[in-house]
Amino acid sequence: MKEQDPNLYGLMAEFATPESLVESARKIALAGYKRFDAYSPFAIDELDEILHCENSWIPRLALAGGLSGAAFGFVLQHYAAAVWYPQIVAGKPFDSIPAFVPITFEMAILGAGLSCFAALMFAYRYPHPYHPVFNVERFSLASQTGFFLAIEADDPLFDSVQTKALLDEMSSEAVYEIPK
Amino acid sequence: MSVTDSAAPSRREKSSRGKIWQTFRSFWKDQELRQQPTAQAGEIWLNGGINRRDFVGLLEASMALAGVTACTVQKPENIITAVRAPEDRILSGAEYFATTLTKHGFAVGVLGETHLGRPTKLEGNPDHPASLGAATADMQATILELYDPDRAKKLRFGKEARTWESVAGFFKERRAEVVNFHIVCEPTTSPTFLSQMARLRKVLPNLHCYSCDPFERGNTYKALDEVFGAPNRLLHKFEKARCIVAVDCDFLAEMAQSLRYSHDFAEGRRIRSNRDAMNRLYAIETSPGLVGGMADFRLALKPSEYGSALNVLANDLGLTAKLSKITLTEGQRRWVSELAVDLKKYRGESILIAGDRLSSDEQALVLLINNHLGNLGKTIEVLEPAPDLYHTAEPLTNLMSQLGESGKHVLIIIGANPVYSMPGDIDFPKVIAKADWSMHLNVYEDETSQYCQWFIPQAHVLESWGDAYAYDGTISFVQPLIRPLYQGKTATELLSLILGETNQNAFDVMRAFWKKEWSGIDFEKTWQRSVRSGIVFDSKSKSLKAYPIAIQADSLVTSIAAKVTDSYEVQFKPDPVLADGTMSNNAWLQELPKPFSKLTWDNAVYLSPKTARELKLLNGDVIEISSPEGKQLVAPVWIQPGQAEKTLTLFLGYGRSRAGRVGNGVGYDVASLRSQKNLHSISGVTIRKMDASHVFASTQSHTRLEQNMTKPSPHFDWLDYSRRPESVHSAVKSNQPETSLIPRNPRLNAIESGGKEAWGMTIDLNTCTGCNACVIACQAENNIPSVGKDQVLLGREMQWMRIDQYYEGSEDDPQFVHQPVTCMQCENAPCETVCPVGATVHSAEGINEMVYNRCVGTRYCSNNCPYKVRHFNFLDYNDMADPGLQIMRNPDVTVRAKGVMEKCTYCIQRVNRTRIESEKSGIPVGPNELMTACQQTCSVQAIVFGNLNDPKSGVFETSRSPLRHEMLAELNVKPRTGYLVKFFNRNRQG
Amino acid sequence: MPIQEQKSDDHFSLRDESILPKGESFESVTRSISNGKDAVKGRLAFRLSLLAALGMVFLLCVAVTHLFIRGIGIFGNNMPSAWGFPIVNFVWWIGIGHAGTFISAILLILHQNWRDSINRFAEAMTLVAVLCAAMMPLIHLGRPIVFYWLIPYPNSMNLWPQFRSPLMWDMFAVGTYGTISLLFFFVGLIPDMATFRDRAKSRFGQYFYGAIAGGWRGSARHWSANKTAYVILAGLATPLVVSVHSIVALDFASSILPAWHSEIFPPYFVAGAIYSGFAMVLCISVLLRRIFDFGRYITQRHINTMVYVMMSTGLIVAYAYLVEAFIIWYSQNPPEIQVALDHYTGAAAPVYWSVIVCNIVIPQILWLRWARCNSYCVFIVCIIINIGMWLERFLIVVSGLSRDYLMSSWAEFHPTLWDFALLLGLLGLFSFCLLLFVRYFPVIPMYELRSSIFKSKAHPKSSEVLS
Repeated sequence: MKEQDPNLYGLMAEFATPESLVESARKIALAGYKRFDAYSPFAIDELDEILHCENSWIPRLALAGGLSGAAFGFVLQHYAAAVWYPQIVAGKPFDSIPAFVPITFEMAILGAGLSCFAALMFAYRYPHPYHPVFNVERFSLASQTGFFLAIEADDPLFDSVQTKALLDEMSSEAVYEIPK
Repeated sequence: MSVTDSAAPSRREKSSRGKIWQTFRSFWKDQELRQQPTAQAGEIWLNGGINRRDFVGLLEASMALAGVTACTVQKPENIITAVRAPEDRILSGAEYFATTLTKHGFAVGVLGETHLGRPTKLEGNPDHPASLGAATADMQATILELYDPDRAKKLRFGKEARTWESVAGFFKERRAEVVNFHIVCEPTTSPTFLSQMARLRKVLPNLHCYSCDPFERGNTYKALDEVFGAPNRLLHKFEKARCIVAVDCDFLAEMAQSLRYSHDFAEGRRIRSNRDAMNRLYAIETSPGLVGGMADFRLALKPSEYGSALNVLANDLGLTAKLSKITLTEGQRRWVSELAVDLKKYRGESILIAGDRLSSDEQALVLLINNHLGNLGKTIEVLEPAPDLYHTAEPLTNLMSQLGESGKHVLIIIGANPVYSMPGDIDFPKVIAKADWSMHLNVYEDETSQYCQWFIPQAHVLESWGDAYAYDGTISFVQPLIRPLYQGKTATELLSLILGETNQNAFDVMRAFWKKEWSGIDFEKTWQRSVRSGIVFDSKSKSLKAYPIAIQADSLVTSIAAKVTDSYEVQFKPDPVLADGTMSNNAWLQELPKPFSKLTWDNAVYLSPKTARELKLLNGDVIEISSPEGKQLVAPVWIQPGQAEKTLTLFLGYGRSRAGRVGNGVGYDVASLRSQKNLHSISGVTIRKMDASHVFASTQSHTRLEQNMTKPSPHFDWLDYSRRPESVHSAVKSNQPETSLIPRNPRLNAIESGGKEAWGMTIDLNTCTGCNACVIACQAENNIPSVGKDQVLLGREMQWMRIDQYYEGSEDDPQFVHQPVTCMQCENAPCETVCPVGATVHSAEGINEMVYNRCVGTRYCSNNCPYKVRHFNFLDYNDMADPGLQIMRNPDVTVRAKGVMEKCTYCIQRVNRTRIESEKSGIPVGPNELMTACQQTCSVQAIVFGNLNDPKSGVFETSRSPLRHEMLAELNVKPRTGYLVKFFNRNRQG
Repeated sequence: MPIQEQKSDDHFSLRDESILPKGESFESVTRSISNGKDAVKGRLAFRLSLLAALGMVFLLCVAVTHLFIRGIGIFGNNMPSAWGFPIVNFVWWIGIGHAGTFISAILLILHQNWRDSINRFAEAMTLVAVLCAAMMPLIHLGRPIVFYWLIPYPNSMNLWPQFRSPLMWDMFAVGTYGTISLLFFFVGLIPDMATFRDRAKSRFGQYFYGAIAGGWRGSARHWSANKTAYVILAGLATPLVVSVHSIVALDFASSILPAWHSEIFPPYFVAGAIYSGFAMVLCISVLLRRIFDFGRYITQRHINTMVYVMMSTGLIVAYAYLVEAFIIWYSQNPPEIQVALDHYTGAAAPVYWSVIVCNIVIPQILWLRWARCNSYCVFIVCIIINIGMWLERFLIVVSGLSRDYLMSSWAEFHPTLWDFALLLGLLGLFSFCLLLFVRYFPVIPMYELRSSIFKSKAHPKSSEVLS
């Protein structure tokens, strides 16, 4: 391993088109790089596979959240109406379950929605105001028209010279160093 | 609305006509019954009625009761509690004191409920023969009058404040000179007062005494004098009568003994099984009154036609062969003849009763018919004469001429308000001006006071010592519930001041009088006992065995011959709520919906639908009525089904200019049209429609029972029932729900759950007269605020109890059904399910409880209430800071804040108080010990409340009666309040 | 195929009906939408609208202050009609919100790409409408200061809310709906906020948009998670479209009032909600097209499609009116017949027939092509539909209340000026919030447009590359 510049986060290549970005990402992945990321102003489905994005935990979490919400909603109502302070209301039995259905349902949706949102925010590490990639001046185009690919310096295969050469090979417009 | 106001409608009324909100108004195919004059009050709706609210705010706000708190201590040495012994005085509990109110000068006993020396509520005195525990609406509203901030507070001469001593000095000077004393007095039967008058006559040879009665009941006295040759009195025994005929006589409402008569009348009408008999009531009247509302047969006649009807009746009964000129139509004549046939069946078992407004000859004829039928001595007792101011007083008309005589004149007006209440042809201010000195003793500084030099604030009856005879001669005592709030003086005290006696205290004067009367018996014991119970026991007048009849029917028939006119007629009647208007400043009464019309805050000219159609008039149209004497009156019209054709009924008691901040300028004053000659009715009036309209605040739109698809109140024929009870039972049953599949809460004590307490109520529609007493009882008991006309217009009246009025049959000759409606305490209460905070929940004993402090005010409960018995504090209706109201309010009932829902809870505070005391003492609650306020005050005992599971309680039987039906039973809300069906006794063939 | 200019949207041309701007690039989309918000600032129409809306918001503040001081009595509410304008407004606004959720959630799941141009402002509209709606039940409480007693929380009184009350269901339903809508909106907004952050010229703008973007950098991993979560949220919002107005309908349907107690209410309310919601979205679309010049992205095809959806739900509403009448006739239930007669010929007839005309009769004109292509026509008809739907809610809430079981308690409702102040004030608040949204936020989701461009024209090419 060559000695790394400690202030180097990684290398970034800019592409003119989404197609070239996808192509390059595929090549980088084939080259064995693990710690790299692609940046684009919209979602590109092909990148999911290349980057091995695994999100199946989000729906599972949402399901768990939904079930807990429903359980909480029902138990809350049952507890309040029949256990803690039972009051005779309209001559109905204390545990009048049909009347508890709407809130149980709404709590299920709320629980699922909140946990899904929380999962997503966790996936984003939101809020995350600073990131080294922002140090690249042209990166501000990543949210508009630019397509970028960054290889991180702590990838085992990373070598500042070779990796840069690899990136230069591709149809990139330019390659930048990303300072930390 | 004063007369001038109605002539030129206010800007508000004018500008709001034709606003777009009229598109929301309901229109009835039945144009005559259209009850939407309110659609013109655009601006009131546009600002939510806030402006007038400020005005009403006065009625209960800003009560600057200076020194009130210092005055709340009673004189324990003098007044004697009625129900509970004072020796172990419990500071938190209620104490009851017996006292007496008067009507037409006659005593009606009441109990005053006090808390820590503060009177909070009046109830009937169960020991008193004229009350039997019941009380009318206006009697109960007297408590509000006591705390009225507009009551007179200052003794004055001209505009300068004077003292009681200076009044004494004034009379000392006058006694030294030779002056004429003229005392104008409201009707009274007070023995102490009358004895003082007798003494005064001896001291002052130039004394004249006049009776000033706004109702002018002289004809009644005169008729008795004519018939018996002596001032005998009558005592009707309605409980013994099988057939009752009331001729323009609202014996259920207008008489001093109406409470007792209602009670006795109901005794003959209470149907619990098909074996119970039912009396039959015939009513001849001009405008629907309570009696007409209860009548099985009702004949609407012009006042001028009563004589004809009586003549026909006397003729058909064989009392007289003479038949004068008759103005009855064929149908009316047949009606009277059928009545005569029926009466013949009930000799000695019937009562004919004539109203005060009939001429003395007509009343005398009624007496003769009673005699002819053998009713006197059986259903009608003739009582020996008793002292009455009327017998010693001169007619007020003499006053004018006597003031004109030479010499100096002192005019003293006690309690009366002649400037307002006398007919318009007497210019009373001018009369007062003729006197050299004038003096007025009254509770309010009113229309009369402003013309008098001296004004002395009168002690309110609840602050006074006094006495009076009841209608049957029972002596009744008035004792104060509180020391005078404004240093008021009683009439007795004024008279003893005029007499120059050293002992001027009403208490001492009264005690001295009775000490003399009761010489020879243990005075102190009798005194204690009488003051405690409010009556002197066994003091009823003797009934006469022999009473020679002094006149013949034939002579009467000639004089009552009809003055034939086909023109419009006017009848004057006391207002059904405010009577003569003495209590105009009473917001409870102003806001009490009048029977039948359900009008509040107004008097109207009643017209029949047919007459209104002829004249092209709608509700709220303003008309000008001109009498043949050339006098005019401008007033708004109300179309009243059941009113006699071509007859306008005008009501006394409104159009006050100096009643106080509540009563001033409300309604029109009839005085301008009334004259000495035409005190009770005028023939030959002409009517002109004015270009104006008036907005009436009626709490219920007129409803024909048939139109209401939900059939809230079925009724049946009594004879059918007595013969085939099963058919009625199954008809009652038919709209009752089947057993529900929905599971019930096991903790709710229901009628099936054995001995456990389950509160319930039944209301007997067959005896309910619709008198409104329960409404005010509820208002007083539960601290219910008045809201003012504009809020009533917006449908925001707060009374927890209402009496729904239904008509049936044709609009010219309708049948009336009253239905008191209050919270039904449904077992499956729909209001409870929808409350998001549990502010209304059920007690195990079955009361639908309202937790005011928990209420957030979603008003959903009211929406879901099929009976609409919940009331919402849309604005700050209760003045929490007012000292006077703080004193008056029932401390057991929470005062509700703005934004909170409220409703009847079967007087939960009474339930709890009784339960707590039963738990403390270990004695179980008695079967009928617990009474709700409405039940307690009901003279006909239509309301029965109690534990449904206590076989000894009255409600046990009625709640299981096959005659009990539930309103809107098909909703399966299982109301705890049920109704016993109404019967009419219209089948004469049986 | 000749590319036509989008400005010719007044005269109809089938070839015009495209959902994507022709000849657009990633750059042009980003630029025109970003610049759009700044261009808006200078427009007189915008400034005047903002001023007017601000005035109406002020009116709302005055009305609410007056309400809090004096009490509910300032409104026309009376005893049979204990609910008045505030609840009418509540139901109406909640209904309007439904179109936003329908567009963003259901159409997303159904892969209706044309939603891309309209979903953002439809979602914003939903949020503002829910805000307007949620205010109403709160301020119309008799004691608004203790509104929190509806929230289940442990307290010293040991008291809990009464969960059998439809108002509690309402609170949970509206609360959930508002929350999920907000999350949905927020999740979709983040990438566009990053664009604004990166394009912001002022320091404040950078901070403001940067704070919302929260460090979004367009990582493929984030996009992937975003796609997953967005679909889940859409899936969760889908039942809400149905459930929220159903539960609002249960406020009425679960009561025992003759005019309210009707099983048809939940579906009928949902259809009405989407109907009025689409009408409102169409109004805003037309305004955005005409006044703010977004005709490039909101094309005639969008308008057409939305009109189709709206008209379909409108027919469901018409069907519901018919079924309601049929059920009343079929049941022969006297109180309900009274209510029906009141609607057809009684006091409520003017309102009832206005509803029929506004909701059923007039909108049918939109089946004609020329009507759909005329912005004025579409706008006016949509306004009429919204008025009609408001009146329908008025008919249900107020007229229903004023005709109860007992004729003795019948009374008419008469609105006060404060009722109208509240209604106007809410419209002001709605417009004000939306105007601010137009001014400061991307009205059209830029990343979705970019994605569409990529998918439509780059797809074959990319497949070549990738193969």
